[in-house]
Amino acid sequence: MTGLMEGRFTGRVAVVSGAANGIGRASALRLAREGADLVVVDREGDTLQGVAREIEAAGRRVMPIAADWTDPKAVTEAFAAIRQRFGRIDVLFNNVGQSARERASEFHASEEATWRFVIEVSLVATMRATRLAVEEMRARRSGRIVNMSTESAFYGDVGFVDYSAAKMGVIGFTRSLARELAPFHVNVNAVCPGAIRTRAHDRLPREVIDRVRNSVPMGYVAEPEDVAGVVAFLASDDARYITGQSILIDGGRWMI
Amino acid sequence: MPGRLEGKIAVITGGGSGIGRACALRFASEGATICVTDLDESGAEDTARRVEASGKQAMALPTDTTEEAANDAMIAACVKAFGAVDVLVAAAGVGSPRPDAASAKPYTMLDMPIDRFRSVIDVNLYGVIFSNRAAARWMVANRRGGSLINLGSIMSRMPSAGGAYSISKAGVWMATKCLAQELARHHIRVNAIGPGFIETPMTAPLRSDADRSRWALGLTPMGRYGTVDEVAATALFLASDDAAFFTGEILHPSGGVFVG
Repeated sequence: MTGLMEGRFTGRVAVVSGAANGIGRASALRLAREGADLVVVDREGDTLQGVAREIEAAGRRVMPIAADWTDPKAVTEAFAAIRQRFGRIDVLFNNVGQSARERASEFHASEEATWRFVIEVSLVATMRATRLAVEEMRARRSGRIVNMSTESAFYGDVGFVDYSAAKMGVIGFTRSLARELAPFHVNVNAVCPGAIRTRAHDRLPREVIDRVRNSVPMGYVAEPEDVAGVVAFLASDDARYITGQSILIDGGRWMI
Repeated sequence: MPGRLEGKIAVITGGGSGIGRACALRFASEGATICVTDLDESGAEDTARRVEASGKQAMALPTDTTEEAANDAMIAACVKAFGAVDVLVAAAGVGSPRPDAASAKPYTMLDMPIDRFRSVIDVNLYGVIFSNRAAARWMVANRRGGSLINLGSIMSRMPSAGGAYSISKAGVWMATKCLAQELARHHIRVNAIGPGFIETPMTAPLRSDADRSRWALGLTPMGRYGTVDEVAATALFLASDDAAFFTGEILHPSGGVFVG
């Protein structure tokens, strides 16, 4: 962290979902270290408290919310509480989402209940939170929304049909919303990470991790902080003419 | 207070005006030393003086990037003056030629004189390849990583009248990807920027033509032209460590123009 970078987000309020671990945690900390006050949301309330303490240690205000973003009532209540505490949201990072993980299977053997869960948590939760944040941003004519997609939305991933579909849905949502909100100075972009060292990555079998690393021209698996730097760029004034974009952070794996 | 490019040495082609000049000034404000090159020597000098006025080191070099040897000499001169090259911004470029300056009607691919077609490819594509080769060869030979940033365009992914400009910019993007793949193991990142319609000297004829301006802004959801500073901000990101896991990508500061 260098001196000039402190303060890019001074006086701004950022909301990060899925903030207890990995990319969400790294992004929340990055925004806080550059001056933002943070609302951090996660289902895992205990882990989230640790992140909240780190943000406080950086000298920022923090509001941890233990909530399941697939529960519409919980999300509505959370945004009401955020409005009451901070009055506005400058940056919304819709990071929450997941694959079917241990329930993942090839499509021919899959179950509808599983896809519905994956699409709910990876696409609908993003739309729901954005819907509750966006009216105020539009009226104030200022705001930044960053949505989490993935490289597998583009290349397709065996055994993750539902996840890839949901994350390509995030890209369609990003592009359409960006177009609607461009006249109102609200920018909407997506980040599409590749191989990043997160819990989801660590759960993969050794041989899969080796195969992925060998397919990355840069030859390494990146850290959550490598994505957080891109999220911070998109949330900053430096990206004010960038909207509707889906940005790969994959060490040169796809170059599409 | 240290900047985001503190101690870095950047070569910027086309640094005498427009986007190149904005990159030079922004990079300097973040701590970089700047080697400004341009075919237009007085433009390069002017940018270098402005960098120096901000308290940073700069040098100006008249350079015709369409000559490979001139690119090699440019990198050698930068290394001689400042000891290294860490960042290259290949911003030298030309717009699509028109039958005459006053004409609103562009050439088609069928009627553009081939020497004019070839001159666009020479500047926009060969100029980028030559400058990238020169910088990367020095970096590889000296085992020093770096960041190469090439100016593509939204036209890297869109057809346009006359073909030459879009073909040259599509080539820039593919050259970026090929170099990115080759150079990743040398810790050299290669990325492109694909700006939309930006307020530059190059777009002045377009901006002053009511019909073409309406077309351009109709494609731009933000409904306004971008500024050179907004493109320089993207270049800064790509030059910085925040883009450490980024290579072979194209970023579009375009106000949301859809390019597929």
